[in-house]
Amino acid sequence: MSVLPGVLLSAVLLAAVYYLVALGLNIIFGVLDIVNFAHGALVLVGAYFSYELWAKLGLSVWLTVPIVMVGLALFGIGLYAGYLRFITPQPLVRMLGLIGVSLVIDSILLAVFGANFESEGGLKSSTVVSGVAIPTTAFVACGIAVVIGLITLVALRYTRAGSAIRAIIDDRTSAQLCGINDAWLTMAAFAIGCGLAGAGGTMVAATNTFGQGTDQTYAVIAFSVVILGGLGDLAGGALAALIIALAYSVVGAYSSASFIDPVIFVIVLATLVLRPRGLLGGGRV
Amino acid sequence: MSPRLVKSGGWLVVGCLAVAIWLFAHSSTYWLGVLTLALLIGTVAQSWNLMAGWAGQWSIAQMAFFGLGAYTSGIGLQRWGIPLFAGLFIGGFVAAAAAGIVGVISLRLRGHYFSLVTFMLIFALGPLFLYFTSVTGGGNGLATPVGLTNDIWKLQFASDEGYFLLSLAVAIFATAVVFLISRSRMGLLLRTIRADEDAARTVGIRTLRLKVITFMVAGFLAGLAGTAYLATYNLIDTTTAFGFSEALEPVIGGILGGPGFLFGGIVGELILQPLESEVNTLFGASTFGAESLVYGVCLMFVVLVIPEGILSRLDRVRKRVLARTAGAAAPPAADSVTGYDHLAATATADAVGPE
Repeated sequence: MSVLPGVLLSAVLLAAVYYLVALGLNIIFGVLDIVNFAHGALVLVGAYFSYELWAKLGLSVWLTVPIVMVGLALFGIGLYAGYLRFITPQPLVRMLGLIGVSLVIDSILLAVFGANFESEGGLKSSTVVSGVAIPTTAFVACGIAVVIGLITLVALRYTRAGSAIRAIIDDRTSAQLCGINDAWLTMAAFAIGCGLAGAGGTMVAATNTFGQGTDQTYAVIAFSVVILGGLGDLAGGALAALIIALAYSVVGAYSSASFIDPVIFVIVLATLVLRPRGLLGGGRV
Repeated sequence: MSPRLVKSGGWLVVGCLAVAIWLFAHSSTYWLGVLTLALLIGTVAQSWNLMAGWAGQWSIAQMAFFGLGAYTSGIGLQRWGIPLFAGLFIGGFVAAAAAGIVGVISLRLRGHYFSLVTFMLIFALGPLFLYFTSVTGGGNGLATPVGLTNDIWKLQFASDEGYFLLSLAVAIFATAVVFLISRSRMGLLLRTIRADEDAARTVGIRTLRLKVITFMVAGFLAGLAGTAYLATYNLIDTTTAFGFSEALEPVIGGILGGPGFLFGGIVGELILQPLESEVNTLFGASTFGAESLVYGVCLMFVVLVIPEGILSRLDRVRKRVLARTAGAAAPPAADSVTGYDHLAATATADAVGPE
């Protein structure tokens, strides 16, 4: 019996979560022109936050999503207003600062939660599709991820603040000349990006085991999705997320998990050679 | 340090510092070990410095080339009995070749892509080296036989002193390469690229070729340090070579010392490694990620307070003193040509907003 249909289905479900995480990274990149190297760490913070709410307060797994999003967005505001803002406005220097943040978050999480992997029990009930067990929660997570992603995209397209953020992504100076207060919106965009990372974290916690190292897995995933989709291209990320999720599931199912990251790396290099502006050609170089 | 410092007796200061380090290293076996490691990682930091300080490209994967060098010479020794002295260069060339492949693809695009791709490189190589256990030794790492007699051909020494000298030689070699490049036409062209890549291309500089060659030289230097590390510890594992916080060591050291300064990487590691070693002694190594915490806090602090590095600060003080003794007017504010001028230049440009 072929396991391919099950592998493909799980890839599609994963893709929605990957897209959500990468969307946050891409918004931050577009507005601040920095790659948020702490993004994976924020995903892990979101996962632990959700886990704590679920385990200690007995909240429903899905109820934790908005709470974690708001929490991570506030954390993002704190990080931006309290630290990032004060670093020399040179993208590479700020990027290194964020790597420092991710290391600090990492070691704090390790000290508080230990090296064990946690799970919210989403793996206990699963639907078997052609021999592949897919956690039932993955379907709900995919649905919620799609809804959050759509809300974000619609808000960016049709609200005033969203238009302003897109204007800043396009051309900051012109946006300022049009009377857009970019200082506030930059912080807002960073907060939104962090919130989306948190939302991604709750999905990870609901559908999978997570722990030390999960942050780096998701950092690599988000970076590759963003490169494949094009830096700054918010829509291209959807297709890219699907491809990365497929690579993840197919390589994991038919070969060793050790080959996942190398395969993704080769895909990224190939993209840079063939489609440097991203799959849909909407990114910046 | 700047060429101007050379003229004003800067080498005397460097010489005094070297003697001080020498004496300090021989105060105890502990410090000899710490400084040996500092010089080895310092060599990698110098390779980072060459890329970041001169070409303006921030690599995160220099430790991966260090690992490739170490694994190449280790596998060569284990499989075919190639002595480590030859492995030193073979490993360097393999690392340079890998850097060439990654560089040709990722350096066609600007800074972000290069940093992202080098970041992903360490995560791509780690699992591969873990997987092919029969060749690389997998999670146990690759061990080489310990030689207890002085044998330069095998790079094995009777005492720790020998390994200290080996790491010193590698560090001096790397610094000499950086020095020669910085004083050559190539160094000038690289600085042009760093200052304004578009302008550099407009005036006919082959930016991609230059950047790739520089990256390959940097890869070679990191590979050398890798083999020297293997010779010293007789063990290389995937955590050392492709771990994330390990990969950041040369980056933190490089930025702490001062990108674009001749001794930037060495000075940074001479501060960072003893600090890390002391913290590990204090809290116990890697019990709760103490290492990550130290690196993270260091990075956050350095980036916030001295993004242009310690040497830049010292250089500024020196210039002020020189100006005062000469009775001249205040020196120019920007550390033009010698220092971290691209930072100042882009800072003013970015004050309006990133383009």
